[in-house]
Amino acid sequence: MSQPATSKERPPAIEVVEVEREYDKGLVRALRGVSFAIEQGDYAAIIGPSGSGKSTLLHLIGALDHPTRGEVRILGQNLREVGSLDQLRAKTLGFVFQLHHLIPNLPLWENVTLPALPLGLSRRERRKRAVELLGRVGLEHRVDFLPVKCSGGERQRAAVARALINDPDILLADEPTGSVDTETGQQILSLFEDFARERGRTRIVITHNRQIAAEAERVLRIVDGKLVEDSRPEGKAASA
Amino acid sequence: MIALRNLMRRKLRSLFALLQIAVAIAAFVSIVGVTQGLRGQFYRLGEVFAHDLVVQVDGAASPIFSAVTRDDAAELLAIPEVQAVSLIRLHFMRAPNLAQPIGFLGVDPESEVMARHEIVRGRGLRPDDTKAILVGEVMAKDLGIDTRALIPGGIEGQAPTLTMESGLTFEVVGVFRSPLEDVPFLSGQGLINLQWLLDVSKGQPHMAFLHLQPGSRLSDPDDVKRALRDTAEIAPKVKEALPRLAGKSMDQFLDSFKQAELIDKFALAVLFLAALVSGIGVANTMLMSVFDRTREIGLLRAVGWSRARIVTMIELEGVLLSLGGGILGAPLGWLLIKAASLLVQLGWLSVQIDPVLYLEAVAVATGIGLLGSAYPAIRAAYLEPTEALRYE
Repeated sequence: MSQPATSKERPPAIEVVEVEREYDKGLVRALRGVSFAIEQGDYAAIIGPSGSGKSTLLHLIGALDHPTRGEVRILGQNLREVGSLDQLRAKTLGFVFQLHHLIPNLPLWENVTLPALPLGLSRRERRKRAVELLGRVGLEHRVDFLPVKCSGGERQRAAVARALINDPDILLADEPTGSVDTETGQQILSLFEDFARERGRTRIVITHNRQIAAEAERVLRIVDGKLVEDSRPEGKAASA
Repeated sequence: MIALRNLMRRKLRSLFALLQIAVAIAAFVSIVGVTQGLRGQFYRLGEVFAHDLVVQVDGAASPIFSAVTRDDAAELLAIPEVQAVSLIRLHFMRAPNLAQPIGFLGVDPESEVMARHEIVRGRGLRPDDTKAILVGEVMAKDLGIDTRALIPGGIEGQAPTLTMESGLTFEVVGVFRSPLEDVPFLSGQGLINLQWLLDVSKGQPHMAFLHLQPGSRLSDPDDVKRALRDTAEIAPKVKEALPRLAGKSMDQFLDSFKQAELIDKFALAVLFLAALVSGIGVANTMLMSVFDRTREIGLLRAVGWSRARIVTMIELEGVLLSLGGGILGAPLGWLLIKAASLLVQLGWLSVQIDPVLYLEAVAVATGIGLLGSAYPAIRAAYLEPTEALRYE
């Protein structure tokens, strides 16, 4: 099994090694021998047509699924050897989905703190963190509002705050602007960028939008479950 | 908090599930409450009858299959410790518009048992009475007997009558009070002249009460226990005098009734069925809730919630729902039985709901919640986050 080369001393944020993912006893091959490494602090965009395997890849990177063959490593840890993937997801990874997935009967601040519940923080500490984050995404006036009282853009911004509540090293986003208008989408990406840059977080965004992809430092293109392009747009250099 | 808010999202669905549990708990509480009430009443009889030996045919499954004659009574009176003997014949008749038969005790007007019943209106029974009846206060109330003509010590004007379903009409000559004021069961019956009853039924008395200390009355439970024990020691003398008969102290006599045991078993069966039905109701409610929230559960798993935490959340919702049902169901059961006793004229019925029964009801409800939500909780915990997030 080949190892992707890494030039840094510290482990890559993400290593995907000869990963294959099959469904229905091999009838569907969603990923076929995909390998790459993303250094800590990098911003990578995964692009490709619908059904190409992008989301499957993100789920594997996000420790939500296991590959049929191959390995996924997060910060040097092989996911197959990690004792608690739940803890890893809570502490190391921050997810933003195409849909905000906010729980309708919880006010925004409680939605934001959902990933912090497994960490055993006090209610006061959780609220303090949530209020601070909601302030940073421009929702200080919506802290105690239910999602139904907020606009689509506000909900998606709250979802970004939720992804950041545990101060994760890696941010994963699956079409984060897919359900909002262009302007709101731009705001969300700016927030994402700000949060990532201030702590050197790694970002991986799945997108259909070529403009968004053009902003990334790395572009990985998946077609039919294969990695067909791994490039750095002109003028973009690794940020770490 | 999250569990409670999740329940509040589907208020009507939660309410119906809660009511289902409340009805099950109410059924349990009402049956057990009545059983405990009756048992409580029975066992208080010791306060009045602790020094009495109850005699009937040895091995008789019920007093109605027994016969103790006046000759037997004379021989029993010869036992040195026995100060007096009261013979009793039981009789049951139906009154129009009353669901349950009325119990009658045929007693001798001069007997010790008769003397223990305080006449509050009208007069007592007389040896030459034929169709005369003394009714208990509760019986008078249940049957709506107009007792205005019954004045203290006698009858003024036309005595009220009581006509049975068979057409037999009694003249109500008096109203008696229960020998134990808070044991209404004793005044839910009628007293009639034993000799007249024997004549018309062409039968024998069913049982005899051998009074070791006529007129005694105890209130201290320890005194009652001691008296019952002392009384039981005289029982072998009955056997010696008349081998076909057996004497029992009041507690032994009551223990020989298997009905209480049957009612207990029936209560358990009802509880099991009610718990099963409401457990299925909880499972259904929680399962629907899990289906509705598939994407949310996927999200929670994605952001780091463990399977155990998901199970705990769903179980907690089920338990909260059931606890609500339990807390509502226990007083509902008490109300139901009170309402039923008024509707079917069961004034002698008493319901005893002690704190232990209340706690048992809440514990049963909690168990229903835990078991009923177990499958939905496990199902939720094992949802694949990737599939759950895509769920439509």
